[in-house]
Amino acid sequence: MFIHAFKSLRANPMRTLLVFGSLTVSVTAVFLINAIAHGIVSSYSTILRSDGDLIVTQAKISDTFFSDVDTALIPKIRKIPGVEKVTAMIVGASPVERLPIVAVYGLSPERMERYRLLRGHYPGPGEVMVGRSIADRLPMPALSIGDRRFRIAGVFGSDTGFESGGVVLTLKDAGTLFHKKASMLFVDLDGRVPAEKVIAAVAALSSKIEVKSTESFVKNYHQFRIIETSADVISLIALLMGLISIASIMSVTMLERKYEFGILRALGYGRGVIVGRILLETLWIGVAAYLTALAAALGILWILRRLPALQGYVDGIITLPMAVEVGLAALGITVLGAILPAWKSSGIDPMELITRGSRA
Amino acid sequence: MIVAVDLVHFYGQERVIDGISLQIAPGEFVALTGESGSGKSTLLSILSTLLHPDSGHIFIDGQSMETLKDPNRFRREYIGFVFQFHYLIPYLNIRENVALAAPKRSGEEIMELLERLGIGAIAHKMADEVSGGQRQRAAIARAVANGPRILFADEPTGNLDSKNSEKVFDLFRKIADEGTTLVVATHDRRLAERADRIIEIKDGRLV
Repeated sequence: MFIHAFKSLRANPMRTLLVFGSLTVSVTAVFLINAIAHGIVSSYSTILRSDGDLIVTQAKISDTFFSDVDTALIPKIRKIPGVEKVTAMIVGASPVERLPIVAVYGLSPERMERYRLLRGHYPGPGEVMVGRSIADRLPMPALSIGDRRFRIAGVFGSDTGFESGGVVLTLKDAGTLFHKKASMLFVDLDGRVPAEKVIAAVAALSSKIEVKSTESFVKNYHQFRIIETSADVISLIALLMGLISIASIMSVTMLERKYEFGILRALGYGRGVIVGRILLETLWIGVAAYLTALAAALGILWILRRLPALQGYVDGIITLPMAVEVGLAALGITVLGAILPAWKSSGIDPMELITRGSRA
Repeated sequence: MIVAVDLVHFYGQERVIDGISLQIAPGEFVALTGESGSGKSTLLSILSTLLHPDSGHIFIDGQSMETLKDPNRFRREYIGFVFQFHYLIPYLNIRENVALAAPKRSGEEIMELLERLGIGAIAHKMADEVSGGQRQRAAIARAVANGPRILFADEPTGNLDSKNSEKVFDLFRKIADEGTTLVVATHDRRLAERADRIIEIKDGRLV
């Protein structure tokens, strides 16, 4: 039966190619959409998770970009029992020289060391260090961010696309650029006091702040949910388009093959066996299309990651659970796209199938 | 034994089988004759369970075809059918086409059958690579591969020259002599006369 399925596919190269093409395109699209969305979420959550057990942001803001937290709270937080360390960060975006948008990170000195210095030194006042992904596209030894000039102190590397395509400067300089004290404070705990107690104590310091555990913040971050939901909706549309394409091609194919089904029915094969044969054929295509789509998506992501124009920000990641989920979805649309026309076409009397098939 | 009682069948508004009743004994070689459009192919399809009649009853070896639990299994075990156009599956070779009808038979048994029908040499060729006569022999091989008790053939020589037609009927005679019930629809009166009995149909009725 496996060999028959393979022979049937080879005997109808146009049909095979059309089903394979439809499925490959839609599965590649699903992979890319999800990988890029996952990459964005993963990059930013890696930055947030990199340091601190708690995150303090401005209360009632929709995005950390708009958050403004008073750094005068830092010494007060440090005095709360159970707190080991408090650091601050400003997250912003600005045109830098010829680059239209670059992520700008203002950091308190303790956070600087998280970045892997490739050359030069960590920035002091009036200085920046630039990410590896954009270093070659910036003039040396100084650059402009907004209306201010900064000397380039060094180049850093990071595994996070958002960071390696950005610039880092002191918290104070970033504050001057973006007119704020800090976007977020990161609080490290020493483990001697329950996190809930520390959260309550920090929250009690000001009504203008919101305090969450890092994990809870990342899980509930509204922007991540928007990105993930959008990716899911677009993926669903791509899969539906694939399903409609496969079902259309298979419907036409089933008409052409009615006489073959009639012969099989005349030879005593049941409807289920005929549908099974068609399923086996489309599963061959499904598996081939899935593997091709996976390879194509990995290749496209590799290219996107290295495109200078994207500054390393598009850092799509295909995880194993994602590959499995997309694989199951691809399998699902393949089966659905084939089973409905095959079931419909194989259900009438053998002789009617043969005569109708001969006329088709 | 095939027993048909008051069979009626319509194609649209046209009554193509009009109350036919007949009996065919086990091992009998029967030729259904009649002009084109007389209803012989439709009757053959109904008798062979490939088409449901609009009304009437068929009993094969005492079993009512209306109450069959597994008609596919019945077809697999009881019935062989040779079509006017060979209807071989185009992407399978001759041996695979024949084996399709008898999946439990070994490759050697299938080859033996093909040799017996004189088409062993073309076993690995595709249907479009062999002559019309060879294709029809392959179709007959497929129809008898599962050792059916009844073999139906619808105008099996319709696309063959007289020499090949004679060969096909020689083969049918041999199959019938081995005990298989044979019902063949043909418009060729000369070939029909080689059967044990001729049943003539006109306008959907027995003459």
